[in-house]
Amino acid sequence: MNESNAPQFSELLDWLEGRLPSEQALVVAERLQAADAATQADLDWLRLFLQARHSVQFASPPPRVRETLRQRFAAYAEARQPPSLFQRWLATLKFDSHAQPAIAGIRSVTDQGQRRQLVYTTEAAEIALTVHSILPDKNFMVMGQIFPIGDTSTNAFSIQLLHDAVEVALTATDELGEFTFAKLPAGEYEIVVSAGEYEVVISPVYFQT
Amino acid sequence: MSQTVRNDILQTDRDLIRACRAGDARAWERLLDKYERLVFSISLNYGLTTDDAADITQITFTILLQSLNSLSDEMRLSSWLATVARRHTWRLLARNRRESVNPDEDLAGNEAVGGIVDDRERWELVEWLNHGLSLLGERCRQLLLALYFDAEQPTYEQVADRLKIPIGSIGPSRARCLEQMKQSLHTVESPAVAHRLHPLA
Repeated sequence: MNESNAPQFSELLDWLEGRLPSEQALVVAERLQAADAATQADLDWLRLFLQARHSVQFASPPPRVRETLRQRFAAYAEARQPPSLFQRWLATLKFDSHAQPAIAGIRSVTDQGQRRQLVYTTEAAEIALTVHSILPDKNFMVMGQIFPIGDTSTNAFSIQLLHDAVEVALTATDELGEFTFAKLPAGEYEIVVSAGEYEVVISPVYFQT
Repeated sequence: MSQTVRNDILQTDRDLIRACRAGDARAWERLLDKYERLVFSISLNYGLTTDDAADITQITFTILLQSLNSLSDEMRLSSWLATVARRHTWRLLARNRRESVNPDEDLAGNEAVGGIVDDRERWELVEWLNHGLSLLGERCRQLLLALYFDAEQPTYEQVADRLKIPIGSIGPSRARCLEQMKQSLHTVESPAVAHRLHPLA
């Protein structure tokens, strides 16, 4: 039996669930007799999934649980923030290595792909971003660091990455104020930095090679 | 495109915990999305009622909230939550047993109490299912939950209506989603799962 004659994953599922006409089911059973190890592994996995489905209860809690926990988190978040008016700033681009002459050595091309450095500033914090294009998959990685300014009361920031106004990733800074987003396809992204009592918005940046 | 991007960026529990510490409600929602079914289902599988399992879920996540600042970055959150949930489930089961009017009748009828040790395999399967589903995109997760884990056992028609997808796409989509789940889980096997998949190993 050649490999292409082995039942496909979807056929195995239909067969296990009894969704195939009896003649077709017999054919699949025959082809399984000589199936390769990968097909057998697929079959074992599907059997386990379907058995698990019947032998354990797996369900979502009632909506009231989520509502209660949402309120408890709101109380937690409020308790750890000093009372203040919420502020929202649009960050100003202070430095862009792509706007500099290449001879200055700021724009760089490495074996790993291209790198672009951006520095933004606001009243609350300075934000440095390094955008790497990763070859050969042509994805991007953004490494950032946040430097709070003045009497900013926190060093913990959450960072939201948006594409087409939809959140695609959420992370937080570590103890050095650093954060990373990896495996980003080319496209236009907006970054929002939050720290409880304020929010900094970085205008959309287009990542392309 | 956005869905593709979301699927490509796997957020770690460490990131979510840090964002929760920073007071980010979206990270808290994400943690609940990821683990509320695990915690609730563990209690259900020990034989608790829906109401009692809901209470245990609330208690477990409230303890998580109180512990956010002391959790280490290396801690495995799913195991931590499962341990807390099991501990409180056992306490409730023990209390129910003590409060039972007729202890003999209770002992004979309460299989969950007698099955605590034997049920280890069941909660490992719950954890395995929860982890696999958490690695999927929202549409796949909702589809598999509706088809395989909804107590009402909806028909394809009802699922299509609920998820706003063509009925003809349900069959092929469920297979694709399950195949994706298998591939995502290939490095994750609990002892119970490994034993079932490779009994002679």
